[in-house]
Formats: sequence, structure tokens, C-alpha cells
Amino acid sequence: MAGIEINDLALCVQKRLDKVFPDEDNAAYALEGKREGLAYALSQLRSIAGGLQWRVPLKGIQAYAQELSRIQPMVADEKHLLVLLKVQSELCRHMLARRRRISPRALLLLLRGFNTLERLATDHRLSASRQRDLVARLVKAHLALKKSLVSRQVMAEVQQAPQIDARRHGLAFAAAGRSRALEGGLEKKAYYLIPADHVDDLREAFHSGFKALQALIVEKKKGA
Amino acid sequence: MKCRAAASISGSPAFLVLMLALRRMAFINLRTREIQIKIVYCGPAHSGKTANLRYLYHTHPSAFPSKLLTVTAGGDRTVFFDFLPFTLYAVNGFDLKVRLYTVPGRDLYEETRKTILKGVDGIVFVADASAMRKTNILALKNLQSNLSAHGKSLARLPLVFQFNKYDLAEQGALLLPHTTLLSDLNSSYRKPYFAASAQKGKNVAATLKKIITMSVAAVEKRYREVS
Repeated sequence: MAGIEINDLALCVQKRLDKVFPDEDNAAYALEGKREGLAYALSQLRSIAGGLQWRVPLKGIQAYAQELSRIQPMVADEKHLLVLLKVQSELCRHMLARRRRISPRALLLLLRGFNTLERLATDHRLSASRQRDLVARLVKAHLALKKSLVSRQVMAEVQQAPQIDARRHGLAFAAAGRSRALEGGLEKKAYYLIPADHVDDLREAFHSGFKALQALIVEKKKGA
Repeated sequence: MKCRAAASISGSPAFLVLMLALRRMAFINLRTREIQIKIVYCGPAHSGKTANLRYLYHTHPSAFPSKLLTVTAGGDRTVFFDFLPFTLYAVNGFDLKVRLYTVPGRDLYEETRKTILKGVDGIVFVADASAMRKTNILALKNLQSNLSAHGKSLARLPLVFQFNKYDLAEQGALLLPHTTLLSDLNSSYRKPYFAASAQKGKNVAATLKKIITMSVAAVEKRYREVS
């Protein structure tokens, strides 16, 4: 029967596999070429962006910005990708400058930007017009965010006076929270993200704020 | 008469194909001289299962003319499965068709994992050296229970362990030593293992070569038993 030839198949397969996948020493750790290099850089970016969905450490954003600058020379001849990288870098700079007051909208835009970046870099079937369209949409969203930031700045100045009063009463952090909630009122959801690096500072500040409040209550009781 | 008919049927290639398929073994078609084997990459979420296939696909384009089919959610998390087929032509007169799958690692996709493991011929367990010990142990237990749902045992199947992410040591990351991973995962199975880096390609092809060879050897053995 023909099936008898199946003997020693494993041995033959092993020999053939050695030919198809030659010794790795040459291939391993040598992901050369633009496609592979970019894929690796994107995977680094992806892991940082994935982490940012759960908490927003400033170090993470810094690392993200660094990776973006590292990718730039790889895509020097691809205009769409370059524009995207520049927009993302600007967003990172903005987030690093805002530190404690990173808006969820900026973070979402960063993640959305990454998704577009990945798509443009890996999906080679995308037509030029589609690429242009994707980048244009993102730039539009970026400009809208910038515009909203300017209007928020104006609102923050309006809120400045009550904040100063509150600080005088030793309730600075409550006031800061209130002003942020008011800021968030511009969006439908009134929440804001606290960068994980500052959680300890915040806890400490809350602790001292509560102590001051406690002292105030005790004093009032004594007075009564 | 009945006996004679049964003997002639059982000797025919078509009967063997049917039997092997019914037993959910690797598919051997003696008429078209084809052997199909199914290799599944398993392991905890974010251990680098898709990264293995991605590396193979990008670094050996001639071996993988078909597209790598991958469905991810937002970031890099696999939602359903990754699928990468390739063929070794004319090996001892047979075409060996290898189908590489990965399963989604997240707990959410328990049923998907079970479905993909149906009819598996070889398993690569990708352990995450940067994760907690418990994560890898639980993933292996989950794999064992999913296989037992199909009446298979991890001890009997061709299995290769890949301890992934050892490239992170260069960046100063705290990793589980491979001896710990061995004692946690491989102490009872005593299967081949590789310390690897799926991102940089270290031991990725070696893992694949080992599991294919083991799976084909198992197919050969079962074929002899059947015939």
C-alpha cells in the first residue's frame, strides 16, 4: 500500500524544516529592514499605549514621546505618517505640560492617534486617498481639542476668584477639584484622570486638608 | 461476505482518511498524498503568542505565502484567533500542510479557546517570564481542562514550552528564572522547552520546528497503530 512510505516522515520533515528555517543565529536579534524595525517600534508603542488605558503615569507618556521621535527617521519619506507622528508628539508635549490635569479627551485622542498610526504603518492595502482621509480626521480632532483648551483656559480664569477664597480656608484641594469638575462640565462626563505618579502627593495633601478641617471643627465646638 | 467487505473497506485509503478524521487526529489523505496538522499556541494573555506568528510571518515570507489572519481589539489583544497556514511540499512524497493557530489569552474567551483546541495535534505553551507565577500556572491548568473537554490529555499530546520575553532582561526587567518556570509548569510533563524572545525572534523558529517534528512523529506512530 502507498501508505507504507509514511515511515521516517518525522525525520524527513525535520530535515526540510532545517532548510526552510535555517539556524536562527543569523536571523535572531537581527530584525533589520524598515518593515520589521517599524513593526518592532510599533509594538513598543502599543505596549505603552495599552498601559495608558489603565493609569496615566507621566513616565509612560514620556516613553511614548521618545518612541515617537525614534520612529520619525524610519518614516521620513512617508508624509502621512510624519504628520501623524508630529500631531502625536505635540499631544504628548501638551499632556506632559498639563501633568495633573490631563483631560480624558487628550488621552483618547492619543490612543486614537496610535490606532491610526498602526493602521497606516501596517495595512499596505490602504489607498492614498484613504490614508489622507484618516490623517485629516485626526488632525481635525486635534485642532478641535486645541480650540476647546483655549476656551477652558478662559473659564479657568473666571473660576480663579472662588478658588483663592477656598485656599484661604485651607480647602485648596476641594476647590481645585471643584474647578476641574466645572471644567469637565464642558464635556458630558465630569471626571478627570489623576496621573498615578501624583497619587501620593494628592493623598498627602488631602490628609493635611482634612486635618485642618478637623482642627476648625474642634475650634468651633470649643467656641460653642 | 460481510467480513470480506469489511476487510476491503478497512484496507482502502478512503476508510483510513475517514477513521483518522473521526478520531480527530491529523488528517492524512493517501489519495491526494496530503497530511494536515494543527498546531495551537496557548498561554496567558499578553505572553506573546501572536508575536510568535508575527515574527515567523515577517522574517520568513517565502515560507508563508498566505496572509497572517489576526483579529485584535483596539491594542494588541487577540479577540478570536490568529491563523497562519503553510505547506512543506513533497516531503517523502507527501505535502505537509501545517496550520498554526493562537488562542486568545483573556479569561473572557473561554469558549473560543475550547473551540480552537478541537482536533489539535500539537501545542506550544507560551509562558510569560515577566508575569506572576500564578498567571502561567492558571493558564496551563485552564489549557488542561479545555483539552479534557475534548477527551485529550496534555501529557499525551506533543507539547513544547516556550518561556518568552527573556529579551526584557537586557532592559533590567525582573523576570522569572527559567528554573522556576520549569518547576511550575514542566515538572510533571517533562517536555522540551525553549527560553525565547518572540519580539526579537530568539528560539521562535526552533520552537516551531520542534513542535512540528513532534506532531509528525506522533501522527506517524498513530498511523502505524491504525494501519
